[in-house]
Amino acid sequence: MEHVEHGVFHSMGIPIHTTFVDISKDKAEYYTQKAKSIFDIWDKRCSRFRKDSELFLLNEKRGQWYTVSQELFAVISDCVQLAEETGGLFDPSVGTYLAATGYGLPQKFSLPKYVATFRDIELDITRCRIRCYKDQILEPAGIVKGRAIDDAVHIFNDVSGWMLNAGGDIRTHGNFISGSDWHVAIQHPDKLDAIVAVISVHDQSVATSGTYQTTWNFHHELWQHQIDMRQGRPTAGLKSVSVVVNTAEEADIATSIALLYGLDRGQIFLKEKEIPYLMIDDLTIRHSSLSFDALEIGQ
Amino acid sequence: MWKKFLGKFLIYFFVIAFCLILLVGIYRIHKTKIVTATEPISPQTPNQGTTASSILSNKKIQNKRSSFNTAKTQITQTKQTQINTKQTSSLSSKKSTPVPSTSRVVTGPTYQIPWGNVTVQITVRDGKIIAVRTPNVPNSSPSRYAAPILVQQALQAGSANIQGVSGATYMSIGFKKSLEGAIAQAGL
Repeated sequence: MEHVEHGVFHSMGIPIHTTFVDISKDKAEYYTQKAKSIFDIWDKRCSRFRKDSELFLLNEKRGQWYTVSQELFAVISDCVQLAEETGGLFDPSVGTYLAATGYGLPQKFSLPKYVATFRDIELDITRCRIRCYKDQILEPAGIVKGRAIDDAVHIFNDVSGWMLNAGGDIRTHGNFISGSDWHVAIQHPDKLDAIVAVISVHDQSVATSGTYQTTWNFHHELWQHQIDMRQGRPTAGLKSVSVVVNTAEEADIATSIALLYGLDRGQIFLKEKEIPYLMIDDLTIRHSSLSFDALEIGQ
Repeated sequence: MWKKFLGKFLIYFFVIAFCLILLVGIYRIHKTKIVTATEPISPQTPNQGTTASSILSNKKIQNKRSSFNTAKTQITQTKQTQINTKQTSSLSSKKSTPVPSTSRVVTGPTYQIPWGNVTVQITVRDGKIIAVRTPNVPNSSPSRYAAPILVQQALQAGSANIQGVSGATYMSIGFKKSLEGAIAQAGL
């Protein structure tokens, strides 16, 4: 009879839960530890919350050329490309607003008069170096967590069925016990101990972007980390967007962009890419695609 | 003397008449104030790209749409009765409520946005809004209230058939008390 092994570790400030089907306990522990080491590498590379990260040092050298690893260069480069495709809606320069309002490093950072955008980022691919504008802080949110997940699960090659949940972003492979699909619940944005739906997935990733979890006060105003770069303000209109895509990185990016687009444009964006989605707006009304509804169980 | 009296009478008459007309006008405006607080915008050419001009026009449309949504909220608050939270220990006991034949559909005006038309339909039953739909958005199901479903106890007992919970990024602090924490704890 199949049995299930679980593992939990913490990295990047988030809990990461591994679930393996039909492998030994020792093997599950080995894979869990290997996954942790991969997440720790990504944290050291891209965290804006630690002073020894590569990203922090890049931001400290703003205005100057700084040589980075190929992985970080690829992340920033891909962020710039996404910014071009979305007309600046998704922009790694969002770190400027986040740091200025007190979320993450550098500390005591004031918002400059001119807020640089992705167009001000210079990329030298031949020397693998980046120069951002003076007073421009980079934050590649919306891509790093998904990329770390996809990188980590590569080591689960010989496991027939597994699930990895990194702080709410999930990737699955194969089947759960008795050949069943994986059942993933979507968290309710207002009641964190409740859910709104359960979907059945197989070899797919489920990611959710939301405005309800990461909040802080700045000048007596509540901010959340999804920032509309065109207005320099937190987004409004949607509480959460959940999608189902093949890889965790694609899912991470899709939810981030859809949430930034808002209810109407976000739905068009996801429909164009044929991505099943569930959106919950500020009135707690759910809007979902038929393809998402087809995945739901218990309706 | 009668001229003096006539003058006073005319002054009082016109002042009272003016006040009455003003009151009637205010009453009629208040009575006829309904959801459509904004005028439908002028038609615009659909734009598939994300150019700066489409972003700017999108901003104007969103400002008008926000006032439409505010008015829609007023209807929701005046006509919708309290929605109770559904509580169940098992997903298998969740039941759907069929729409009875006494419901009626109210269609709002059509708004043109760069990527098509948006019309809002509200289904009302017994004075309660039970569904909000934007039928112009293709391949989408009717919008409805996202009722929270409590499964904490079932997860802690290991009886809920859920292997993971997807939500906005949650931190390590509080993981043990979270739904995902309950799943992991049941399995460990």
